Amino acid sequence: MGQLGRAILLLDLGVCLYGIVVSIYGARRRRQEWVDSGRRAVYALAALSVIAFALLEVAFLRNDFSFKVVADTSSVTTPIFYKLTAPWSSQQGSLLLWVTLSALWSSLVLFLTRKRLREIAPYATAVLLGLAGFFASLANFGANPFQTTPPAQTPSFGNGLDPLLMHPSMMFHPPMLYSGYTLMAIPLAFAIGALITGRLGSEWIRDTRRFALGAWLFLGIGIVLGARWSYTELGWGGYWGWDPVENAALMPWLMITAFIHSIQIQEKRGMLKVWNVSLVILAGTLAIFGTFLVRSGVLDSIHAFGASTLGIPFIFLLAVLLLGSIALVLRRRESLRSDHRIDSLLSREAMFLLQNLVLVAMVFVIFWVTLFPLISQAITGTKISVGPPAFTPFIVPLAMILVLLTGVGPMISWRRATVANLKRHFVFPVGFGLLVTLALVLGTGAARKPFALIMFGLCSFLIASVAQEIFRGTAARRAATHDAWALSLVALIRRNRRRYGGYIAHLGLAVMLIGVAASSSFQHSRNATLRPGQSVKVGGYVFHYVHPTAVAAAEKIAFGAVIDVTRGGQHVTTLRTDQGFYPAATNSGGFIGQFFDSANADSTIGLDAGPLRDIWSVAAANLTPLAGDINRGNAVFRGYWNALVAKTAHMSAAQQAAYISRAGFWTARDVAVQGIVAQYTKHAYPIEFLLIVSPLVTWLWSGALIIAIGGLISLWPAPLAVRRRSFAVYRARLARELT
Amino acid sequence: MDPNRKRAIRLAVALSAAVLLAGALVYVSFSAGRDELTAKQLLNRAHPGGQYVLAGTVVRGSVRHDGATTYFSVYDPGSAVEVAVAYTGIVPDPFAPGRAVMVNVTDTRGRFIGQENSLTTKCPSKYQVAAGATA
Repeated sequence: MGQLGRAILLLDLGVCLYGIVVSIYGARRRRQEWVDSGRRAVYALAALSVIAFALLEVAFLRNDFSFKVVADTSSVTTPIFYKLTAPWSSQQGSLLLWVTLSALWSSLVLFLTRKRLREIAPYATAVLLGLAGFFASLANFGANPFQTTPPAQTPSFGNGLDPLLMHPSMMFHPPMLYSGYTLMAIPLAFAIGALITGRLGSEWIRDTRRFALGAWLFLGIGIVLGARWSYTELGWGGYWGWDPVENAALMPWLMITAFIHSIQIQEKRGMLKVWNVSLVILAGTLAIFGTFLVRSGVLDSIHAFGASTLGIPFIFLLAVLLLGSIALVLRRRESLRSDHRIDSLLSREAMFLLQNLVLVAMVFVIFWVTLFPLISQAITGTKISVGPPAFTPFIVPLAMILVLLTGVGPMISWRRATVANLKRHFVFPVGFGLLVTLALVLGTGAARKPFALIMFGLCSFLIASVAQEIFRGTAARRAATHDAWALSLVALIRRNRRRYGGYIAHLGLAVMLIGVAASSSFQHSRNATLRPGQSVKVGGYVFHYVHPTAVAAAEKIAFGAVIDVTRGGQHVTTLRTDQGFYPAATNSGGFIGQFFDSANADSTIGLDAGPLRDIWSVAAANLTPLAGDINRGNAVFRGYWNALVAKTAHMSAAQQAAYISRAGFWTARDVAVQGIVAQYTKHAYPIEFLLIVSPLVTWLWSGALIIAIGGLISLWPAPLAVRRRSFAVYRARLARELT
Repeated sequence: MDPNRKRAIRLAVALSAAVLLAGALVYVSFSAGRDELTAKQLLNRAHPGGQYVLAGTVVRGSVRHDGATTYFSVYDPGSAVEVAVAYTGIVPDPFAPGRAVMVNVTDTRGRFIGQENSLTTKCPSKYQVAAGATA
């Protein structure tokens, strides 16, 4: 099976090369049959990659530890769900997933555009195959998922999946991110095709817009799933740490956000062509750059690889992409001139442009600060470490401006706003925003944190503006159809999915940022060492450590704590948190010690999530008092083992194993482990806790969900009649461009 | 106003804003940052009371827990120099011998005390060490 996998991977590479050559040849010679053959090469690549991926999945499910990647990231005890998802927990599997997703999305876009974009598509095919070929090369020659070990060296059990990755959101997070990254390559490829052919109208944008939106949606979901994993699994109580790898995903997401907004200006008014092409190139390049950051280990991150040899090829790819794109944009600068200019700063197009500039400024800040350790090392010879303090002075005000523009943009008129227009649209949202701010100042302590207070006010303004737009649209529809309010609302959204999906996403952004501002500004956090019966106060809540817990199960031993939380003497919730210790793959820590190795531990947080606040806790098991028993157990069982081995020296390995088992060695060992575990609950050992009370964290997740719903609505194809109307508008626009 | 002049003014304002942003960014980066030192650099530069960011790999066999305090040593794969750290606080789950870590430390008369909640560790598995790496 390993040989078959390796052969398919090589074939993948061959198909990529073939497709690139015939696509370019077909485009240059205007030979449609070669162009079609290039497109079919993409379909073939998708089919081959799916087969390769299926082979890898089968290897995981069959516990085929002759595959190095299976032995490294799975074991006989790994649950089936995690076996299925373990392939992308390794470098090798991730690269194969990249190729597979890239080929599948490329096939979809080329199938949908097979009768359109005839000049652009062949070049786009070549670019898409070039990118897929790059990752296929890495999978072939850098980190091959089908690398096998000789039977004599094949382990019997496997190392197992890292406990930290056994989390549902973590297992969906990578495919979402990769889908986002690979989808981002599609508008990039078509933009390059448009630049090569000079077909720089709106057609390529129309045909790839949905893919850009898909990239935005998938990448966004991936980022939020990663944040959720961090919040519930990593045991530090935060959801965003400005870690380089988090930033690597955020940068292309912000850039594609700018793109899906600014293309509306090009579609409506034929403006910002250079800007849009630049945005999509930067978004695509940043997607590759993000992958480079994760894969190369060039920056210190909680995520990045310890070391890797994949950095150089990535730098080469990035250089080719950027330099080639810049050369193409310069070559086509005359054709990329806007049809119109911005008439007034008080216009929708100006607001969209400003919003775009803010998003790009955010990307620039994140890029600079993320790479600053490398930049500083190049300048001063010493890496300078910067963290959140370097991000927040810039990102917070920029985010505020962004929220303001997000509220203003959809309400202001195209071309030039009049005083009447401003009055009609802004009185209610501005009034509502001010009212909320005032209420917060008078009724809460929000004024202590001015930035958070301003953000609450701006988000209220944004929510009111969206509500007003939806209300007015629904009322207008109801007046025309005399339907019920709910029916009119559904019909309104159904017929204008792109517009109202966008509004819903804006609503989600406001809800999410309220959660971010509240939880980051008004969080109470405390480290405390407590014995059972002791209490500590955090943010008005009293955390009372009731008693320790210890559970020895087949997969792990969990040492935990039960915490009672009260407020004003009233019971609020009971939290249960523990630290699970998974048995080490080898017994280098001793026959007993291998069950208590902190290197194989993960935390299960105690969380009481509510609409207004989260109460969060984590406890670090204190195994120091057990150390003596563990050491004694190690010594006893080592002696017992040696005696049994000496007694059975004349037997074969299998006979020896059977004898040791019959002699009750393993049963005795398990009883000893259980006994040590039971000790834990009998003594009042002090435990280190991290206790957090955070307001409105649930708003963050709810906001993200609303954004995703808005994105899905925008992405969903419009009803046929509406589609026909919109195509008619495009045809008219195309005709104007051609004349 | 002449549209060309108007455009020139807009461009000047936009460029000035960009230059200001870039200047502020450079200033904040240097002022908010702290030197990220290897074990060898730390031992050369440290003085009592000084606070530093120590980056390196956790020495295998050096990790010891004593109540709420975790003792471990960090070394730079490029040299044999080690620095012992006493860290109090919740240890991140990915922390383990052989993995790369960063921790803020204070020099307390030759002993390096890790600041609470400042320990970060590179992720494992998906992020496993590539073949041939020293960690």
